[in-house]
Amino acid sequence: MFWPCGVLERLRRERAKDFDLSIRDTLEKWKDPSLLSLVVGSPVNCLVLPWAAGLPEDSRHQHELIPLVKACRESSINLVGLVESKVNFSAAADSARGAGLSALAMESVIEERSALPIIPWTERSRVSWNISQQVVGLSKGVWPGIRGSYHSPEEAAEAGPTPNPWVDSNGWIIQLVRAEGPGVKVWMVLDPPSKNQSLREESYVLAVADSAAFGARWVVSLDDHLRTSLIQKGPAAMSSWKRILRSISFFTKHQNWETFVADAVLGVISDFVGDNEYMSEEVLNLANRRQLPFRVILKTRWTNGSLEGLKAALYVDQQPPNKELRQDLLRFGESGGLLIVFLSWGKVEGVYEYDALDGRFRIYRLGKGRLAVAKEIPEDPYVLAADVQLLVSRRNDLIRIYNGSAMTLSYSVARRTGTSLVQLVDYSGWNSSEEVSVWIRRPTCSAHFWALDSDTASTLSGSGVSNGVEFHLPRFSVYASVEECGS
Amino acid sequence: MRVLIWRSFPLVAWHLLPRSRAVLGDAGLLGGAMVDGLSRRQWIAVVGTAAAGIGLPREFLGDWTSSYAARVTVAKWRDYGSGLISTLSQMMDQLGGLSGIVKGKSVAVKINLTGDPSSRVGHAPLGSAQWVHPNLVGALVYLMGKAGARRIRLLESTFGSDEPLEEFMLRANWEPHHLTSAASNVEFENTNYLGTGKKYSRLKVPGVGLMFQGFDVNHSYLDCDVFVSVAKLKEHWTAGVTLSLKNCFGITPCTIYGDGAGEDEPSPRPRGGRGPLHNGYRLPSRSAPSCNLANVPKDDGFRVPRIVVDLVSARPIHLSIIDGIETMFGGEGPWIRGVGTVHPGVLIAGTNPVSTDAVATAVMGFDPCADRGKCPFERCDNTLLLAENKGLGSCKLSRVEIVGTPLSEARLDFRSLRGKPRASTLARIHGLS
Repeated sequence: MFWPCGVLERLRRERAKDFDLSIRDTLEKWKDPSLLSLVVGSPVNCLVLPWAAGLPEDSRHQHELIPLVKACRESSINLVGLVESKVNFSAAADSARGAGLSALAMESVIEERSALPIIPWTERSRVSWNISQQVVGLSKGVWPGIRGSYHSPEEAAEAGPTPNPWVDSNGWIIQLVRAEGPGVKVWMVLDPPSKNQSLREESYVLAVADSAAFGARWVVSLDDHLRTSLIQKGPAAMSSWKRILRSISFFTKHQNWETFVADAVLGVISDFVGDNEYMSEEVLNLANRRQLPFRVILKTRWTNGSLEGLKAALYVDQQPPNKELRQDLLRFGESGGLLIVFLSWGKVEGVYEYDALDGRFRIYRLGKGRLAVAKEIPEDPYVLAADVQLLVSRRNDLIRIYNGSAMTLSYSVARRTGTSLVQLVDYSGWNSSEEVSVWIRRPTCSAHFWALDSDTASTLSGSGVSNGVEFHLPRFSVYASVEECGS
Repeated sequence: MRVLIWRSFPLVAWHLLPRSRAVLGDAGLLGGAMVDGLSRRQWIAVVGTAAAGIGLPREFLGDWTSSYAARVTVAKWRDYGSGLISTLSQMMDQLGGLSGIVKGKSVAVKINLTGDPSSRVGHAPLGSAQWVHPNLVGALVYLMGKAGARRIRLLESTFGSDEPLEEFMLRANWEPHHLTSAASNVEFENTNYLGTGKKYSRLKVPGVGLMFQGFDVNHSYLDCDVFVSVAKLKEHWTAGVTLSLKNCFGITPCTIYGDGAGEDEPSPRPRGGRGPLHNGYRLPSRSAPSCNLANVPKDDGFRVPRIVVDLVSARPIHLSIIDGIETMFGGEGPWIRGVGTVHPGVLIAGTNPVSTDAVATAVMGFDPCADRGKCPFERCDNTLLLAENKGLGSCKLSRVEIVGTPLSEARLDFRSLRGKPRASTLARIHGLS
């Protein structure tokens, strides 16, 4: 949990022109160790404190935090010090070690040796994966939700026969980062969209769920109104805080779900950097938005098994694949897969069959499978994501969600038992998701239904529909999961 | 005198029109390995009935009197399983036999698949609420094939997209193979844009249209000998009821008549809905036939009924089938507040769409000749009356010969269902059937 307090936080906000006098007291009072009662005994087991900014005020700030740091240690709460500048880094690291902090977090890459582990605290493209870190703090994500509905659901899209509202989710980037750093814990660093305006508690629960459903953790960051009210132990604030903690607790209890393997029919292949970054990232973002599960496949981590179990592969990059990768991809097509490429692919293998999607793709037979070549790269990645979904065909859907147009889904399978898990996150901003149905291409007939507000699962009976099974979900708020019962 | 519009339509000319090329096969791009299509025999098993015992279509029954403008058949039927084909076949026989309509003909079937496939009324599958049911479509396709239809093309303009119609259906858990295997030469086309055609086809409104002189539409609406409207028995927020006439509102491609239509020419791809037709906030693409829009109110209750009448004038319906076995009340889709599912257990069909819709409106407990302001046309002009005035048929029940189930046995007061909790409503109505 981000624990903004003290003089460095005040200075940071002044620099960012995000400070008014009304918050000054709050920043001071959050240094008070008594406020740790909010987290002691809760699933929040680590606090991120402003620690150094390369300013003359650093020492004073660190000194003033000593009582808080000491209380954290006594309560077995880990501490991470946020370092904003490389200036006087050694001194900051030494003081942090001396105070008993567990690690430092900083955006800049430090060449010099550190007295403490350093957690990268930066946007994805700036993470240096050469370092064998255990945790990555991913910044520059989006506050999850339907834009404009953070404070009131009425601000969201009006009802109509329209398809989908625009949803902001970090699910895609979490999947990408987890593929880039297998085994690395991903922390999402997101501040509320407006510090000066109270957020609805559903919005916080959504921030928790949007990260956790995809295997990450949100570094809890509260708006100033809520933090001020928590100092006063206001009933509404305490109620909201308890609900946030309950949602964190839920995912803590289900940490084993993080070990599940994402299941998909589509693999998206790219290096996800440089010229390819925009299109490849947007394809993931929009596939996630279209409730199309995918597997992130990095060219730099390519193995013989990268395409195993997939039915289609999209090669996004503007540069043709190297010889070995090309051979592997062609083998995938020849053995029955669908390979989707752009003209950058170069010389086209296979036998031309027909044009698809109103001529936007040329289809070639490739052994038992197909090669689909886009005639041009769409300017709008949404068009590409939609076309890819059509090329793959809804016939190969693993999951279909009904009355969940403002939802994303995470679909994974347990390594050992093979049982499936569907996690749904509702971004609508409404407190209640009603009459949601989930169709799963599985032979199962019953499943456990989990919701954030319950410690126990209820059992759902499915009905067989169109080569799968359909479950009708009870009412839930923000998040629900359907875990297949063991066969 | 029997009034059968389709018989008087210049069928010969329609034969001369170019045929469309095949649409993208619904086996998907991954090839036939994933196809689990059924044979026609298997499809019958899916629906749960056998064709055995179904008599050959009889010649038109000669028991009409001159006092009737049209015949409409009504049948009570409980579900979409066993016996549906038999029931539908008997209804077609009561209309004179399907072979007389489709034998040797290219048939275009506009089915009502409104809205987004992922939106449901409660947990109800779309075919049990706002969409026509796939088994009814399959039964009709089967019977048409059996009656000798040369080609059957299923048509709908998918909301806001140009995705293949089969993909749209799959999203609703429909299985397109069940439809293609129900007869020979079954095709699909999304008519929300140019589709597989090379250019849009022009439908002209005979005489003077109420709002439009004609429409540019997907080629499939002209490239057919017979046009069938398969609709759902529903109320409609704007038009009061949505039946076989209103179903044709979806003929209009959004590339020309939608929110994202091109200014001068049709846009390559559809975007958004048909807001411009509803409220007139913008004009269709200039390439489309001119319209009488000067001084036309922006009121959708004025516009939509008139556009529907113009559409049906330009694209006559030869056979109307209305699915009221399972449906919804309170509106046309789940985006309308207060809607729920209901099980009237009724099918309605006729060769005159105005009379067929009139009977269907009466089945829902409404007066089909009600003026604007009266239930169910509180917010709109009555499409049926406008259509009658245009000479498309009669909406007066006294002018309609109703065969099969008497109206009194089929009637269900839809308006009385409003405000009822969904579950209890369903239970009560199930008890009736």
